Amino acid sequence: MGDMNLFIEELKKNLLELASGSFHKYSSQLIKDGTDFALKLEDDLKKWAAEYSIHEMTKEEFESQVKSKKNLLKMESLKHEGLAKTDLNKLRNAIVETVTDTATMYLLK
Amino acid sequence: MQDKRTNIYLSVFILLIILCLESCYPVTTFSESAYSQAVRLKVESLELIGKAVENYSGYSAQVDSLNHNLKLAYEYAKGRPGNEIIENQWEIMLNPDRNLIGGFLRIWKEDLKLSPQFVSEAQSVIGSAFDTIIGLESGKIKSTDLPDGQTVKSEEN
Repeated sequence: MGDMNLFIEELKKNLLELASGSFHKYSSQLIKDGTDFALKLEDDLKKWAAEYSIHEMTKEEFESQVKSKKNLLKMESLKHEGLAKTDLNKLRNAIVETVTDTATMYLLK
Repeated sequence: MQDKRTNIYLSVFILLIILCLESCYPVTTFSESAYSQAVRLKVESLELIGKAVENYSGYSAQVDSLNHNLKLAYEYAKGRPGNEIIENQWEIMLNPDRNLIGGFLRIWKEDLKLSPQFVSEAQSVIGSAFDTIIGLESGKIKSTDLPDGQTVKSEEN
């Protein structure tokens, strides 16, 4: 099984290389996001790498697992975005109710 | 006379605020149908994923049927006004080039049989992905919570 520290070091180098191309403006963000993602998956990565090393998981399955976690993070961020929008709608409704009630009470005499 | 004029100005101003607030943010209310559809598809998907340790050929009809139902859910989400976020979630979920249910079914079809470890991990991740759609739908405003008279965009009415 591979070494996690070595993996993170190599990952940083590869991200830096990626950032040196078209993404140089975002290099620090890119390295941070990539490393955070890998650290978040540390336990899973260790487990899947162990399963791969004893041929319980194929390389394609391993890659698919990592990418599926990335997709899941995106789904979760969309959910939070949607719930924030709903909260904003609730606030808007409360404002409309308050304005209508106050106007009815004080203006429609 | 002055008071009456002020009141008219105020009324017009308030009316404008209300109209602006009404039009600025489209409201999508909770849909019982969309919620049930997502829950049903989660259960169907996880059950079928569990079969992927066996040969794909024995389940191709079930995969086609699930794919059809998933596409129906996506189209339903797409057709609801102000529902872009859930539409986006279904897109990620179904895309065969990504790695949620669409990608899983593609890999199963290509590899014919998948490892129990991979299947078990996929059930967990894809189950959680369905939960994000279900959670977002259930977090929406219920049509009964809308201000009086605002029922136009409520989808179940």
